[in-house]
Amino acid sequence: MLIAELKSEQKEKILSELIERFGFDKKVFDSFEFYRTKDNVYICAKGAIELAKGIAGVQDLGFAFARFGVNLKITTNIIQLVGRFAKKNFVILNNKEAKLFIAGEDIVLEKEQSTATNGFVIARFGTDNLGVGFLRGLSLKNLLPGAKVLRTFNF
Amino acid sequence: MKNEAIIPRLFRERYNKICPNPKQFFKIIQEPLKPAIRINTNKISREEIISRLEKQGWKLKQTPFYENGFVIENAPNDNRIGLTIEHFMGYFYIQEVVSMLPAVVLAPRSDDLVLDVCAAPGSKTTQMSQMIGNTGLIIANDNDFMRLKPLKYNIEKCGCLNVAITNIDGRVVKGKFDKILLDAPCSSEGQIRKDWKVLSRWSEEYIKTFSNLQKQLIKHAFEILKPNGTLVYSTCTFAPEENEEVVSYLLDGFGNAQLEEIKLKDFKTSEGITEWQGKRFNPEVRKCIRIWPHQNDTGGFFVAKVRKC
Repeated sequence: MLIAELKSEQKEKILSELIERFGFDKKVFDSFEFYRTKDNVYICAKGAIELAKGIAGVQDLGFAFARFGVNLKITTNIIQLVGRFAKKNFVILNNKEAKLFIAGEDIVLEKEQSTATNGFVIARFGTDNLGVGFLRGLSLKNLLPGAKVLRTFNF
Repeated sequence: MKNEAIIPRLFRERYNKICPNPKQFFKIIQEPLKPAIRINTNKISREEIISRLEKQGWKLKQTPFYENGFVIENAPNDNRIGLTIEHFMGYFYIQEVVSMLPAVVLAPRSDDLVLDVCAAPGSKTTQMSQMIGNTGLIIANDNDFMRLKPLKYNIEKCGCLNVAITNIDGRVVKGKFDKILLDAPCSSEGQIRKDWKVLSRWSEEYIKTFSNLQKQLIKHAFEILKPNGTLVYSTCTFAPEENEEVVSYLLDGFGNAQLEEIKLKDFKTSEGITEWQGKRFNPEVRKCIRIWPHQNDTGGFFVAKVRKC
């Protein structure tokens, strides 16, 4: 795997898009480094890229931070890690909706959300940031990766 | 108990000889193991998750040697801990108590370059990641391509940003490392309480196959360890051929390999044995530790801590 650190202007562009969308404080990402492949931006611990360059056969370092598309999509793994710092564009799920979300289902929200506009949003249940969805009106498209879907649970 | 009948005679004979209180040993290996979890401080504070789980009725008992390890003493309404929202969120990792030992003994620091030689599925890698505060770098290697997927999944689920994955035969990994964890593939006798089928594939030939591989792995791991670096060798088996014999092989082959004492507070262990089936091992292997299941009501384990002088 060729690991090339993001140039600072590329990093600024990507971060500013996500900071703008979710209201993160920029400092949240200060202690991390970023690199990109064709389709994804990856995130890892500060200094890890330089250390990893000296290691033969590295296949993965850290994990995917965001995926390129029409809009930049932040990944579920990152939202579960830093989603608590998001100040906007999250939808608050009730118990029934949270269960549906974890089970991988799309949801028609019971209430309109004042904390989110159409587009990529964080699905939040209590203090837990479950993952990412795509909001259009009251309809929340579930973007939880298949491997994370849990169909039996007990909360 | 029905299980008694399928403990191979040879298995019984072997461990009658070296196990402290074999009667208790053969009794407890037929009893199921209590589940245990490791709080994932990469994602949540210890206090917050304990409070959340206890409010739901989970009764947790901290492991004496590691502040983030907990045995589940009691479950609310017979629930399974793996089905909670806290598990979905990756706030804890289900991990056997004794499996938390090697990382604790290795004690990685954030300025160490750490190699986990046989990392999949990632229990000890993710533990070390949180031990160094999700900083620095851990190389999580596994030679089995099929096992990289669960390794990657667990690294992501635990939010580990300080881990790089490699897929190389542990006998030819290149580089120089400050700390190396070699949790070697083994005959897994210590897992009997979790998986009774371990005994169905058990034989002395099976043990010997692992022993040969382990010697090659430990030799190479020591070669790629930096001077003054630390190598922790561990297995989840009782077989001396896979434990003291492997460590003794290293000590006899490398004059600069030195075993260090392992001290664990309030956790019973036995010292390594120095003789087995007529073979005498390097007397230093006494410094290795054996954990027999009946000593602490856990699975079985073996750990050695080696310094390169």
